[in-house]
Amino acid sequence: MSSHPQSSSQTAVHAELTTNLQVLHRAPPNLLILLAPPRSFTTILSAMLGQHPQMYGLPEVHLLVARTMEEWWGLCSEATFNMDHGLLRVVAQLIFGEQTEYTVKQAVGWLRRRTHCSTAELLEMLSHQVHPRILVDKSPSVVYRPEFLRHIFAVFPQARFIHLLRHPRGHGESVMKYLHARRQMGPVPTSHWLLQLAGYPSMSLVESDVIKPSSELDPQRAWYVLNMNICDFLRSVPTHQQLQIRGEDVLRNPDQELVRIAGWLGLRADNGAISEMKHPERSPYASYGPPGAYFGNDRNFLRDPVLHSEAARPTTLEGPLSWRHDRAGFLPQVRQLAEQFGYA
Amino acid sequence: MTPVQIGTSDPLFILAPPLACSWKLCAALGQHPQMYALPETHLFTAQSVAEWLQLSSASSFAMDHGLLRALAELIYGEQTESTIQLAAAWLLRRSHVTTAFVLETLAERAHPRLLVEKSPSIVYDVKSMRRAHLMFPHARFLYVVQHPRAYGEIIVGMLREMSKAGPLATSHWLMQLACMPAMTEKGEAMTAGVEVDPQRPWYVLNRTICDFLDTVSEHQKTWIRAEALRTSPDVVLQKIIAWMNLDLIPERIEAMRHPERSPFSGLGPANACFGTDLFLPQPELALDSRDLYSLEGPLSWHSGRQTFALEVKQLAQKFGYS
Repeated sequence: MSSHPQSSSQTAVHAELTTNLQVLHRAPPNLLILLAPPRSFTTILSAMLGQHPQMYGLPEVHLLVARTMEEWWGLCSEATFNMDHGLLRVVAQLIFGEQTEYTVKQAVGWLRRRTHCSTAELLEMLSHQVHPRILVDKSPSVVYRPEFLRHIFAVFPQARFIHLLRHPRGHGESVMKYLHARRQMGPVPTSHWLLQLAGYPSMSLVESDVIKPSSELDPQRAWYVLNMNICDFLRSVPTHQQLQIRGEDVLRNPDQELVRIAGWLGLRADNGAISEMKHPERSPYASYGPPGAYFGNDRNFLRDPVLHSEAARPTTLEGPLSWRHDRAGFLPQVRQLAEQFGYA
Repeated sequence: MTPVQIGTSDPLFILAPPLACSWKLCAALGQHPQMYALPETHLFTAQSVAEWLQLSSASSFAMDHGLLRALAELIYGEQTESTIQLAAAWLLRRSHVTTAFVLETLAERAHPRLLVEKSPSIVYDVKSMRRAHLMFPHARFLYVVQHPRAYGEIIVGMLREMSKAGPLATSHWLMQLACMPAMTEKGEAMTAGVEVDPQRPWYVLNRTICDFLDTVSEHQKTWIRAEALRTSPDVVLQKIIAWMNLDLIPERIEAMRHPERSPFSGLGPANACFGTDLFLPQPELALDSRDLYSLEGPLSWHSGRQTFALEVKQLAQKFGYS
């Protein structure tokens, strides 16, 4: 067979074809998604898992609440919190090599130039960037809508899911405590995510901006509805792709629970890997970011990113709820679901 | 994990109204070994490639030639009729992407050289310049100003040249430019003018550029006079290179004296000949050079004794003209 010298245009066509084929043959995105209502230990667990040498923990990127990046930018502009900070920090870190004011600005441009992309495509790019490590995503906003959850599975059929549980009393108290702290900073609009969570699902966005008396705020409803959303969704996911864990167990017995998670994922479960995971403070997203992207994670975590087992103190399903003026206890369906999760 | 874009830099955008001969400046800068000059891509007149393709097909000039030549050169390695066809298809396959993403792709191909982009269409609408800045937050902007009388004479001279083959349609880009309506105090265009008066486009386009540049950080913008570039090119080019923090080694400055060496300084293949203002006819100016630089006295393109409007004189004085 005689060889013909290729023209530079043929070479370029060949190069493009080769690149495209390489992309097509790349391993599918390797994702682990933490599903839980907000205030359910997702930040600490994500940071812990991300310290495993074979995993990479993202801060809150909120990508999967929108289909396209254009829609995502629109949501960011309307959000009552700095929804874009997490993704800006990730792009600065993974695409531009570090998190500085300069690279955060570069990240803004990089993301704006990808307005045409789907959010799943963006997540796929990030996954390829950390390959062969598993990308750990935890954006609690996805559990509000069953269609978000279904969309995740449609675009990432090989993703694995951890349903992260928290006792409804610990969850409710955490929500009310966080809300109280937020109120110290000034009036909280009804559209604020914390008030939406505490008032879920009865509080409507169209109501006045006056904060309801705290007796009307009852986070057990959000705990129930959001956990039920997750349970309903996970019925459609093969059992080997899902794992249910109690956050309190991880905090109290990290060695045992982390070995269980690593084993389920088929990853290293040796002392070295488990020891790394007990240092969430070593995550590149465990401290405040540079100007333009300060947050991107739970603010309490950013202030104190160390593993605290006392955050998982024993609690009970019995007795009155501290946030209810009428001293009522848990609703029967909440108790029933919590018992199914192994809480007493 | 290797960061993918750690070395790439945002482009340098040259902002100048059409017919300011900015290509020569762009090509000269592009001969510096750390820069790469693009022809007129007109990318930021649209958000997406699909929108850009629509604008291009409706344009009264060969709007697509510059981008097709740039893609042929940087993606397919040469400019031939065949690679221009490939470039057109490459673009069509990417009709869903943002125009800024196309520029990013070109920047990656030119890397480590930094792109220099000059498309006069970007200065018609502040939104286009804002889009460029939003998409490339670290981009730099080089503003080229020109005396309003010299600019007016170039436009009317160009009209004379281009009308030799027959009268230009009112939709022709040069007629649109020469008859550009005045701007209201709110910055909105008034009813389209029918009379040729190049001081209006001079004022409207320069004011649009100034309004945009007011929003840009000081270290990301600078300006030069076109006249200084003509009289002392080395001094001006060195000033620009120093501002860009690039190498001022004499050989590199010497290279910039040869804009004709740019791959876009000659005619392109038959299916994408143009792409820069180099190929427009060079008009013979009616005035000698001294009279070209005065804000006083009547305007040659008016039959009466009309002089520059007050706002034109005031803006020109801000640029140091008298």
